[in-house]
Amino acid sequence: METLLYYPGCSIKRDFSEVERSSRAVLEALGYRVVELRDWYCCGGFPGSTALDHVKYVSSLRTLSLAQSQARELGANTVLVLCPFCYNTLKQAEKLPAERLDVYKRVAEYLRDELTPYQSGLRVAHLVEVLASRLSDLSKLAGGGLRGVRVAAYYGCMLLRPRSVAVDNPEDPGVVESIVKALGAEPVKHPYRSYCCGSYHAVGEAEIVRRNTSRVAWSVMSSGADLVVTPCPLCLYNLKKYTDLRVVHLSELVAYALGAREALSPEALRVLSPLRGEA
Amino acid sequence: MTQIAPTAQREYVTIFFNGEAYRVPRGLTIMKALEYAGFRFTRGSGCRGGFCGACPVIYRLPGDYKVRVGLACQTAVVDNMYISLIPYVPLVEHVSRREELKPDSGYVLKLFPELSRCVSCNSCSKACPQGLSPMDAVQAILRGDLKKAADLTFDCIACGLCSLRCPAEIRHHAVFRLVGRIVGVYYTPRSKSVEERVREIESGKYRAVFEKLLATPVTELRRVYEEYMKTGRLPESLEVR
Amino acid sequence: MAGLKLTPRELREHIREHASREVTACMQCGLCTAVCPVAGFMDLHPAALIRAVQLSEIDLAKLKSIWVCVSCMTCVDKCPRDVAPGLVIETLRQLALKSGIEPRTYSQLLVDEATPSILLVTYSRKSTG
Repeated sequence: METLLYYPGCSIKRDFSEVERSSRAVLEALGYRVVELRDWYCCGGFPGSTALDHVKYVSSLRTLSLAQSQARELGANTVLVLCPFCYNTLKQAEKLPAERLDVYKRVAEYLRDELTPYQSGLRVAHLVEVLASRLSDLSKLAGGGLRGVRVAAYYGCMLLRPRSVAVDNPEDPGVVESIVKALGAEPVKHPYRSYCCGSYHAVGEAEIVRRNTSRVAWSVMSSGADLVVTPCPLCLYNLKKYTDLRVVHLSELVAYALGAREALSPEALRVLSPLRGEA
Repeated sequence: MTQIAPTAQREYVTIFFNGEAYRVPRGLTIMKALEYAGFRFTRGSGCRGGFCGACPVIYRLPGDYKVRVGLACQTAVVDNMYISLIPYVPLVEHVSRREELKPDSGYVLKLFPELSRCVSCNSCSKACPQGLSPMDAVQAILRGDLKKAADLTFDCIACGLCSLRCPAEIRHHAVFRLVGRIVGVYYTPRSKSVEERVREIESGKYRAVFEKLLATPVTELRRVYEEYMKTGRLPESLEVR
Repeated sequence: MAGLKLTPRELREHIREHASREVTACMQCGLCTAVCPVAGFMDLHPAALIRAVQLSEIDLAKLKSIWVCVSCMTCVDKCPRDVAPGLVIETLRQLALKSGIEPRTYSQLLVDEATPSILLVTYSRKSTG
């Protein structure tokens, strides 16, 4: 039984606990042991990208350093993340020793007072990657309830860019579609599935989010999809607030397909129940 | 604390303050040492017992880049200390009315959105003279765990040093005070005996005794007090039935 | 504060130093602007911004593009010359933040108790220094 060290991220804990519930249910059904990290810190949303903000790696390296000791205790090496922003930030931190040694050294030196800095050996993985590695098991566990239901994926940005941390090809991603197919539903690709929703502008220039999400909505509707799934809570929030698309988090669709209804929020059930697959 | 030896045997150390060097007896606290050197504290001094947070101090030692912190009333002088007193850190607080408080970290974040700027640098914890971890409390709030944040900051003395060092400009004490109030109102079990006592007071049970006390001359009060300290009993005329 | 104006030479050097990118390599193909999801909201769209960095003075206090960019990194992914406009914008943004320029204050945000942390955290990362 593989153990996954679970890094929640503050927004999953505080605002999207239903995503945690459905993700845990799905992973446990697949035979994983999910253990929440003892110590973890807010990833900060964006990693440092220039030489002016190395400080943005402090929090991720601190988390990975503490995760490493818990990983050794449990004989695990995978850090599971549910939020793409956390994924992007932690993944870039995971790769620092190999890809940006100068940045790694500086931040590690700063942390050395307090703890033993992370030294490679952990693999940060987003839920999507874990699910994509178990497609045949997902097929076996899924009932036939979604047959014929057309599902569009909406990826957002942080899982696909920059390429050094991408879980799939940003030009033509297909990993969520492969999961949808394994669940017995019919994936439909559409052109704007990795077009930015507008992100945090929802708190400032909401017009940007309104415009971008409406483009995504147009793209989805033109594909004839019955439902949209997204692996990103921020995109989920923006799509729900600014469009009237039928949308759930990827983990909620998987939980539904696997029959784990008790792990779903009433809202997710309201969206998913009316979808009747062809028997 | 070391006893001060007679002048002939006394050991002295040098401390630096405001650009001047002072020779002060070893074993004094920073506060006492500065008073020995002739300064009089009109600000930045309070309980002198390590609990009010009025006298935070930052200092450095030669040959060491680290910034060290402490409370002036609790930290002993060492040779070649370069001292700076911090009498006051501006922390403009938000004082909510009790009815406005909500048991929801979203409420705290709305009032203090800069909490989301925390980069986990831990400068705050390094600056805490009480050995607390403000960073863990801030992170707990970001996660929605107000109870944990209140637990971690119960012993905070509001000296302000963490906020002074914080690159995200978080107002730690203002936040912790708000969180402590929210947890006290919404999560801490009510004390029945306190509520009972408040009811008694409001019913006027103690009014007569208080009026009597206020009318008693000081000499008589002093005698009553001394008698009470010896025997643990008050005179019959002052007992409350 | 008065506008923070930088000459093209100062900017080029700054970008070389902090983002390890060469803006003189840009040939103005416009791919970055074509794929940018928020170009329509910028005052200088990505290709125009790189052109401005190449040729003219930029006033960081007035530039809006750096606050509109969400670092989706599509332009960085697409650029055939590895000019990485997204990283150039990020460098300019850091410079502006360090000079005390911020697009708006917290009190101007549309935030209430139900706003997810991820929005506030990412906004704070990008728009406060």
